[in-house]
Amino acid sequence: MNKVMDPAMARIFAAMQLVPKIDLRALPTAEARQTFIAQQVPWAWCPHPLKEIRNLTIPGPAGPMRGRLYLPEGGDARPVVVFAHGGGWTFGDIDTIETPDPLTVVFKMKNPNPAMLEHFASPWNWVYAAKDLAANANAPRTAINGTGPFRLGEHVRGSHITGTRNDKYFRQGRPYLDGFRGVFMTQPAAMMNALQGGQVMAEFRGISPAERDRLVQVMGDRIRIEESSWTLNLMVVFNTEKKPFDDVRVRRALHLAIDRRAGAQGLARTATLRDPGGLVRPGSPFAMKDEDLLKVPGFGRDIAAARAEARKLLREAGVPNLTFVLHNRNLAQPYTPAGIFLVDQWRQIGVNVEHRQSETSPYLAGMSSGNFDVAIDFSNLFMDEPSLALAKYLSFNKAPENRSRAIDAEMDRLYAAQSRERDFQKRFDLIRQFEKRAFDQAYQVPMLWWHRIVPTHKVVMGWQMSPSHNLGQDLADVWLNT
Amino acid sequence: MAGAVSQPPIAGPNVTYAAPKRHSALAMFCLAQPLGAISGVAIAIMLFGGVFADFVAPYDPLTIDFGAMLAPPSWEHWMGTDAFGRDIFSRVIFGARTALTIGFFASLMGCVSGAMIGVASAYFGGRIDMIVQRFIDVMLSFPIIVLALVVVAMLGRNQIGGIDINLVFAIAIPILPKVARVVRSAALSIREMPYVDAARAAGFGHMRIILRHMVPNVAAPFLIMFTAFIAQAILLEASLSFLGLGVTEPTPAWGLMLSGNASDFYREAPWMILFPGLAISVAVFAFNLFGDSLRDWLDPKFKV
Repeated sequence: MNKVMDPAMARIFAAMQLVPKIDLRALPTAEARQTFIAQQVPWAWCPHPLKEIRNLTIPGPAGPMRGRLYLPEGGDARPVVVFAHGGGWTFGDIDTIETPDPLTVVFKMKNPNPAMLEHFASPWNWVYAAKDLAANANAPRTAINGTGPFRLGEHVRGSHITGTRNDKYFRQGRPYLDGFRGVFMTQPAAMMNALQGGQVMAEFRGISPAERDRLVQVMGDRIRIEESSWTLNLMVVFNTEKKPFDDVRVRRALHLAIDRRAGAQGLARTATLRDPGGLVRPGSPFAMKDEDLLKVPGFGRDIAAARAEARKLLREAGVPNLTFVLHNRNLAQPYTPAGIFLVDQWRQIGVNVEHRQSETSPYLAGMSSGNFDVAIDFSNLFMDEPSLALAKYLSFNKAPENRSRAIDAEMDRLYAAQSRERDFQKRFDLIRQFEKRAFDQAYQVPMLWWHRIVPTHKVVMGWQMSPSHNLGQDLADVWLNT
Repeated sequence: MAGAVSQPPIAGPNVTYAAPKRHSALAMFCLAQPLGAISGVAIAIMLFGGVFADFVAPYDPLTIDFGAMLAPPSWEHWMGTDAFGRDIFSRVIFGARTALTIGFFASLMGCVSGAMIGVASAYFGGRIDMIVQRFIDVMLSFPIIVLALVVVAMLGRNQIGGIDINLVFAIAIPILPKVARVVRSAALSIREMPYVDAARAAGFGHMRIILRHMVPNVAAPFLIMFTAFIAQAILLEASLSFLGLGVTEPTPAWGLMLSGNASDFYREAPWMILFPGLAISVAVFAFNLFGDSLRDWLDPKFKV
């Protein structure tokens, strides 16, 4: 038998060989989904026009099976490919991607997914011309086009990135700027000085309240400050594979002892932390309302009662004098203030905590290997979408980013239900059920949500504040009022 | 007694000789080295504060009070409060415990190991001395803070009983070569002493000669260096903590109190950096002065 491979298929395989192997199971679920969708793109390079795509029902021994026939143009005297799929996989919601003409992409869904439009707008997606991908399948990694409104000028790692105006941008008259230069600064003090000195006209990620106050004091009406709640939160994670944190009473006690209301007020002055909230960003459409949050144990105003309950739970669990190490990241904002705050909160119920901070690399290594008792974890959401926000709370075997390493089929079920529900109110209610389960079990609980503070020089016009530093940064509408 | 001639007592002024006044060593040190005595008192106060911090400090140094954030010095909070409303006076007192514990153990570890290496190097001499001293040269070529930074970065953290043992190692290692070099020079002259030759002739082993006959005779320079290096160790601990590589929050430590939120709020709350800075300065100054005075007092060359 001659081994002949279809040339288009050969190109797809060649492209797959070039792309580094990614273990989707090791990625956060949301990121894995995006990667999975991106990996499907080469399969849409169909050089043969199709005469017909027909859905079939094939009788099988255990009942009818679904099938699909792809019939190419040019007669029927062609070899047949039978592609059988085991079924049962629910990872990808997209069934097929078709490109009937150069300006149209048709995504056919396997399952309803109310988050899909948001996913398409994810800042981690990229669009490449088919001819570029055909010429170099590794283009998304090596041939960076630009941001849309701007073409890439140069990127010097650790120094700067520049962009020049894209005259062919699809929006007429945009962008206004001829170009931009972004500088990378790791020291907040250097950034503050650059802002004050006018070398930098905006700091888009977010600064601390103390830095904000300093800028306003020094620069007066030359600086504009915009603030928003942030799609970032800090969480307290209990390693459920270690004793006594496998006991829900211990986890709940430590959750109840945190006075988030007082912390929100106090830390808001010194740290980039502010809003107490549930699992979805406070203020976003699917977030729990504050009056409802007040009724959730651990988020109310009667901290004395909550701490009495916490002590009782610790006694019942047989660990009234609990001692453990709090694993934290060695970053000034907001990890260190959060660690100081938590140590104080837990001491008030008689728990002795050793606060151990590590540089980012060993911190992350400890988190992923489960080498910790209790840790401060973070959730960095690039969009306001519950399916993304709740993914971190899925069972560990489904979501490796769940650092508590807990397995909870009920939470998985509720997650799946909300992710398929297109009715807003029903989905809202399902998310509340998911949150209730999360707080009852307290495998990992939100501490406080971050607060984004962005300073821009008053001459910078047209930039819109967003609750994420990953969104709204194409600078297409920005202009300078000099 | 036959032939003895009794003579009348010689007339003269009635002179009485008072027995020499016996001062204690402490009193003599205070009289001879008043500055050293003052620094000794400062060290004693720090020691007392550190040991009895739980009873002396008016507040728990870790308790957050958001209602008293950045409060200026007052009768309630003598040194004001920090960005978490923690009492700075209490944190300075507890910080003395951290500084003295790490300073004492790091200096002890560095000085003891350095003295052992220095004495052994001098005793064996020859090729061993040459090789050991070249290693010492390499270690001495690094600035003390750089060497400590490298060691602390390599070792990471290892807390036992609230003390970061690796931090103590990191501070002790830069002290070691300095002590080894000084002790070696003192031991070189002792090696030539007849009693060392006598011990060797009596057939004693190397360890016995080093430990019984040489080490006791380098005790004076050892003590002086041990005291002086406590100051160095305190400064080093404060520096490493300031750089985020030493003690971690919320442990009260003077260097740590100068970093973190202090750098954000030192303009509106200068007391956040003033008092821990003063504590470091006083401690280092006191130990340095005490070490100098001890050297002057112990070294016969300075007794003019």
